[in-house]
Amino acid sequence: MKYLIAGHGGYAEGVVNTLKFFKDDLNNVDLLPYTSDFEEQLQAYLERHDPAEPLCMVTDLVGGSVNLEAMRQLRKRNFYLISGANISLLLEMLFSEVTEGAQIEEIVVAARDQMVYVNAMMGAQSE
Amino acid sequence: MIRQVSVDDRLLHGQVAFYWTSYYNLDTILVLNDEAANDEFTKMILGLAKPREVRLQIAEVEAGFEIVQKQLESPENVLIIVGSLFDANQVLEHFHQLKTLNLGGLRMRPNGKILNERTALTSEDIAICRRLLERKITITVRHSPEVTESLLNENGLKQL
Repeated sequence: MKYLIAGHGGYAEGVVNTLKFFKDDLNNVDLLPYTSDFEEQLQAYLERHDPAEPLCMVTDLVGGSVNLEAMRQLRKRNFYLISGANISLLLEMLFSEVTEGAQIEEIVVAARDQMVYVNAMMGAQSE
Repeated sequence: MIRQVSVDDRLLHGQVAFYWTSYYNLDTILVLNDEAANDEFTKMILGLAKPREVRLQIAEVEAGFEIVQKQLESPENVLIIVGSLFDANQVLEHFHQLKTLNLGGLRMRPNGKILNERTALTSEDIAICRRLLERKITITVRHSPEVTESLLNENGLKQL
């Protein structure tokens, strides 16, 4: 599975830097920096990508222009698209070597539990 | 009350929606765009971009005039978004109570001249801006309230 990380500001660079902390080999992870010609860059990347290799694109914000543009591309091409991923989700996908949509869905559902309001969690435990 | 009419050829997207919603304490975002009003996919993705507590209405430009009329007199804080200067002009010609226009973002098109990193104007755009300036419409240029607002005037247009 090839991963493409994209988002606003330095999201993609930041995410990749963080992932590197946990996994040295990120050869299957590409990033698209946020530039004013993002739509063209995304189009060019998707055109260059070998359709035989599954692609999972990860964006920062579901309603942001990065993800909305990815959704427009999704209408004409086949790839997986996740938005609002947390680091835990990305690590799980990288380490379990995901290859298909059903696996992704499972991991996304599980990763939602990784978004925690810790005070509430600890408060509940002290009861 | 109509807090702002903004031109953004991406219509609505996350970062912009959040900025303006909090700045104007928006109740409603009204997107006036013929294409969007007739395309389910576009309606869906615009819905993704809107902040949770804001109502989103999408209508064709002229069909939307009725909504604009109601909103002019309502206590709600409303942001109107159009996708082009052509549409902006339609709205401002129809509603003379609206005296300002913001250029929030227009991507490069053939024969476009760059105004700033988010805004490019074609010669038709420039002609519309001139007409609006002649009608004493204030044209601001900023993509978010965090940026200092700059005013577009005849000098600015001549330099393009």
